[in-house]
Amino acid sequence: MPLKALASGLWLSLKVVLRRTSVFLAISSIVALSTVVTLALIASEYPVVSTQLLLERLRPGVGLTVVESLRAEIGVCWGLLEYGGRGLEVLVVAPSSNTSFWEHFKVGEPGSGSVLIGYRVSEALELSRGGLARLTIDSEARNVMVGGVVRFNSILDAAVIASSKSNITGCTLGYRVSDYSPLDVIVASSSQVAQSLTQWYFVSIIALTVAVTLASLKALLDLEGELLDLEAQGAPRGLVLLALPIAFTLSTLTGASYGFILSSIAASTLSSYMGLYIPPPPITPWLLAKILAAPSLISTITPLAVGVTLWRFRGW
Amino acid sequence: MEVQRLVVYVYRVVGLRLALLTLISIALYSATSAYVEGALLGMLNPLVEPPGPSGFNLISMYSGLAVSPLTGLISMDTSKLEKLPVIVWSEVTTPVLANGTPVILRGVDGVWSEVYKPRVVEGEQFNPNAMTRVWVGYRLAGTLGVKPGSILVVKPLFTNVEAPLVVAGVLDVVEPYSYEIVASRALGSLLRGSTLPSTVRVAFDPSIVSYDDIAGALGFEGVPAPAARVASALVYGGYVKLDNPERVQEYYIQRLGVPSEVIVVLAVLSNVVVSMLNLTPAWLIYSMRGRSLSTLVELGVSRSSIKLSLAILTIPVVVIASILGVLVAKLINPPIILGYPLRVELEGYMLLAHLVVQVTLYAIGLLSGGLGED
Repeated sequence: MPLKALASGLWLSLKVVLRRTSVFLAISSIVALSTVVTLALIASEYPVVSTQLLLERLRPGVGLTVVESLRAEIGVCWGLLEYGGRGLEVLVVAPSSNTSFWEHFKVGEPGSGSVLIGYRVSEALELSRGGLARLTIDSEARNVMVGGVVRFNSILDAAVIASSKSNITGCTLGYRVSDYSPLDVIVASSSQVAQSLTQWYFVSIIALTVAVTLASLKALLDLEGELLDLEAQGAPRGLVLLALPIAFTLSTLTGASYGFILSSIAASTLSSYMGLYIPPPPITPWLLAKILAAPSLISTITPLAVGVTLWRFRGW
Repeated sequence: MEVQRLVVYVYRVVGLRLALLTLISIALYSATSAYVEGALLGMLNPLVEPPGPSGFNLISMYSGLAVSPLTGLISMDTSKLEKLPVIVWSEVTTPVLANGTPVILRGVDGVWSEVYKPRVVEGEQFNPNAMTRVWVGYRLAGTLGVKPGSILVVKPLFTNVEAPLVVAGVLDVVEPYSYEIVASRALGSLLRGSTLPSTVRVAFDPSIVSYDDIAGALGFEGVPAPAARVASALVYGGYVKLDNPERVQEYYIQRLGVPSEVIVVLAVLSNVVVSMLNLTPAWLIYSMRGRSLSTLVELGVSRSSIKLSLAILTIPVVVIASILGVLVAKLINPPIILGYPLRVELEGYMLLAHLVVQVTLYAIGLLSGGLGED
């Protein structure tokens, strides 16, 4: 059959199929269902990709890992820092002499009897460089001179960093410098949300299959006469049967596209509201398979199967 | 033809198989949309607020500047409450990765332990001074597959501190603690990277102390005093919003630029769009049983009485299917965020709205379906 005749036959079949109000509305509801599923899946996968993007732009940070005391480079304990009549519970970080702590944090080790303090401690006690404070660990108290105010990260900003020459004892925890990135927590949290939606995804896929089956059955029964007329005019049966799968697959893909577009609009709106860069919707191979490939395949195969069944049993 | 005889005839025409098909398809559509609605509305439910201790009312105060109630820190002078007969304690929370699973680690003190009296399911009693051992809520213990003696490698979100900790016990305790790792306050602060708490809680006997007494002592002005047993406050610099716990989660979500009204509208919309699929099973009756029903028209029965009979017969099936869908949605794994399951539940007006939309769209399908003329 020449290609032009094939295309015109297919177009004619599509026009006949889509003319029916019921088919048109069935298509609209399939679009709606696909949009809802796409939006839910994108929403669950979105943070994973956003975080991965953040990770790509960040240098792996220096971290601290708890280790047994023998391998510890840094002792950590709690103490009370007093200055100007006020006291503050602080984290005391006591690096040993062989640690790479100073190198990683790019600060000079204070002299004996001196400490560095985090900026939060400095603000809370109104204590600055050169100030003399009293540091108590367990019941042992000593006077310390502030050698500088530092700003590292959330943990060290609330800490007192002592020199290895200060011989601070009583710290029961030991740490080693590592290169751990805490952003793993965000990625894992997003994956947890996405994984928890798996069961619902399968229910939605079953719902789509049932919806397409019923819509195909309804359309083919309603169009029986017209399809037989088309066949009588020379259109091959296979071509006539292809019209519905094409219409349903296109509507599934349209619904998924709406989902992508709507999530893109939501991302840009939130982006401008929060003043943060939020990347466009994630398009990963796995997400494409879940949102586009699987539902489209169902929308193609199901009406074909229904069509072939009716063809066989109703003697078209 | 009498209505009764007509209904019986239509019942025979529709048949059990078609009724079953309607039931299954609508139950599936209802489950799909009920899950989305429930999950959306679940975002507004309190995940973080425990019930008040027995016989006490509870006020929880969170940071009004944070992105979520679990990530903020609050600076509050609780010594002002010392003169009142109340129980005050603070908790620090941090999202962590525990053996690769994202959960919340909560640092609590001895007062918490005395107030909630957690029952030890297995292992040791909670020790508020432990620095290398943690306790796990019984619901989380099942998820993580841990028992006393297990090692939990904990990676916190806010600090570059990776800590291998030993599970000392499994606790039977109220929500949200049952979904969390419970640690000593000192360990919690170390992993959070701050000595400040995330939440300050005040438990009090309402027959002795009122909300206003507490708010006044803390220096909060113009605070409403709801008659709720549990209340929460978002504390900003010099401003406090005190309300019921349902509203707390809502405030945090609103801060992300999504008002609760938008969430409710999205929930209703998702129900409406998915319920459009209900039109097809209604129309299918006319397509599959068109000839039998047309015979009735030829016998002089009006189309409207046939459609009415169909409605009388099938709408109860649709109601049952819709309720079945809501129940199925409850059985599907809920969305899990940081170890907490969102409550996928439709209650009150939302449940009613769900059922009305499901039935209405099916009824529209029945009424608009062509009987011999489409």
